[in-house]
Amino acid sequence: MSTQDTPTRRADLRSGPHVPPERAALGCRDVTKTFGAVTACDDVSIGIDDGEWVSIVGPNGAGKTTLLNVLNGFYDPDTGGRIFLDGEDVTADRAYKRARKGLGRTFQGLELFDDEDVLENVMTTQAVRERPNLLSALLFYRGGRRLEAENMRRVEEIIDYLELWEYRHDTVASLPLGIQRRVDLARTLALDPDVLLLDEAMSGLTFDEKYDMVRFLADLNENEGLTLVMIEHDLEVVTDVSERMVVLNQGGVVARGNPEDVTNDPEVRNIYTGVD
Amino acid sequence: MPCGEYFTSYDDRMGLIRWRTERVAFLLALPIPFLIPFVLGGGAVSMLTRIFVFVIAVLGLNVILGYAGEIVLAQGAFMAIGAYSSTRIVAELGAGLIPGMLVGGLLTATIAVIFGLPSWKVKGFYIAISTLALQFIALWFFQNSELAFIHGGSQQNVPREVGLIGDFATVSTATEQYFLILTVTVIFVLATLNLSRTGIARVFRGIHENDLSSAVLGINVFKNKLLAYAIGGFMIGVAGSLYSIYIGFVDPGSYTIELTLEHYVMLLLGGMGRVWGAIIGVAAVTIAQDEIRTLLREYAADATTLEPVFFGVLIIVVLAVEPKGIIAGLGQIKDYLRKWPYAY
Repeated sequence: MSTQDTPTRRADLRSGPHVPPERAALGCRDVTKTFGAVTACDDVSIGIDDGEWVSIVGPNGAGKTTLLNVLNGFYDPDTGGRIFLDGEDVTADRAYKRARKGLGRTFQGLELFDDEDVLENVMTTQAVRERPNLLSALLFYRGGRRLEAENMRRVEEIIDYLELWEYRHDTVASLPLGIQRRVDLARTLALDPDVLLLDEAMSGLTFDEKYDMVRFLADLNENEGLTLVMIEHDLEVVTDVSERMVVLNQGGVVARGNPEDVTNDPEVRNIYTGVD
Repeated sequence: MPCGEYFTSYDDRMGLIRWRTERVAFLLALPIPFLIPFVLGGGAVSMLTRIFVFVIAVLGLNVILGYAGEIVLAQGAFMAIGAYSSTRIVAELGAGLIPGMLVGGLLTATIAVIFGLPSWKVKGFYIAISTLALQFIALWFFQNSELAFIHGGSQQNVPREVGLIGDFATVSTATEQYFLILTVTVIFVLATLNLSRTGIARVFRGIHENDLSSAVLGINVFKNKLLAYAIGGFMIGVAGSLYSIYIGFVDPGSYTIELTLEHYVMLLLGGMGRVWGAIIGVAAVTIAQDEIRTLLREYAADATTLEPVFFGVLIIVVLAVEPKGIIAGLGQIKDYLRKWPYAY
């Protein structure tokens, strides 16, 4: 047995949340989600601290995306489960309300506005934050016009930041996957989120595209203080970038802690390789 | 013609008339609508007036269907509600055309919102069926003489001389009607163009494209759908009240499901989701209908029954060539000319 596998360290890996969910930037307490006889999430409690980069990993069917859907409000947790955003209980809030309170999310399946160009995709989110009243929109005079110009300026900043300027007027459906994932990120950033949920943001990307994505996310995390929660299958990326990992299996948390400890945990190895 | 982006401010980029060529074209075209009644005959003026009325109605449909993506099959019913309510205001109260149009528009918007409530739970064809129900309920309602105490009578004449407000500024001749309806159309075209370049229309389009990701981006999908119903319903209601003034009477036979389908054809042919597409679609369909009818009449008096066949073939050909409508086809030609003689 190596020094890392002492009983004490293994106990840490199975202990409760690192941060109490009720005081976390994003947290959940006792979340269970069942679909008929299937338990997709089983009594999960997680607390993610402000400015942290946390990865949620696990094999297919572990309940990662279900947990993300519960966190962002697509699914309601079963009775007793609570969701907290910046210390506030948001369990009763629907997805759009949680988004307005600072919870952004990208999709594994890229739910972009395919027929619109990049600029319009990002402008749509910006319009949610700052939008004119109906009369001002119909007249497009002074206030409404100024607001739209300001929105466009801010959106161009985001497009520049993510190095998307050459694709600004391209229809999203015509772009390669790597650029589409960046558009998804740009659209979510226009929401000015405090916490960003990334559902397999590296999925299908080439090495260079992954490098670019990690570069942008690392900058957002380190320099903008954005809290990142990432679902990811690529363990190499996860161990390189994450401060903490949470491992799910069959709906429940089986390990949590820093990447080094978690990846050396025999149970985690067993889940991924089938070998103790 | 410019081949790149030369704007130096966001304000310039958002402008409706952005290039010198567009400014020149606008200035040259500006006097045409004002000269038409004095140059062309009564038939052409009547057809243009009809086009203007339908432009407002199809722009309303464009807000609900083209922007928000809600399939509403109650265009005829909405126009009937606007027509009957404004006729009561004009004929019985004598309040004038503008109050009549406003009441007609507001009442239609309210009914549209009520029938949009199922969008809380359902979408797509389910919404189409719920609004189709309104179409049949409205026809039954307006045909029912026992309910005349509400709608004022199944068939009613609209006074030939009506003031804009009370007896002030009377409109009576076909030319005066033309200018009144032209003015209202210009107001609605400008308002819709403005709406289309603001966040409100972007949010509608976002819901249309993907309501799931719209919710994640902070959009209250249900509330915005209802807003689209209200805006579109108001416009269609106003178009209904103008249509009653144009044809001089109200009758349920003028607001059947055929009218709904005709407006769908106009929008699809011109280009859904585009203001200019709706305008071009209405003009193209109305003129094509007229031309086909004239052509068939030259062969035999009863050949006009073949009009729907010719019309149907025309629509199939256009949609097969360019499914996004005439406006998208024109856009491709414009792109080609902009880059010519180079391919890119």
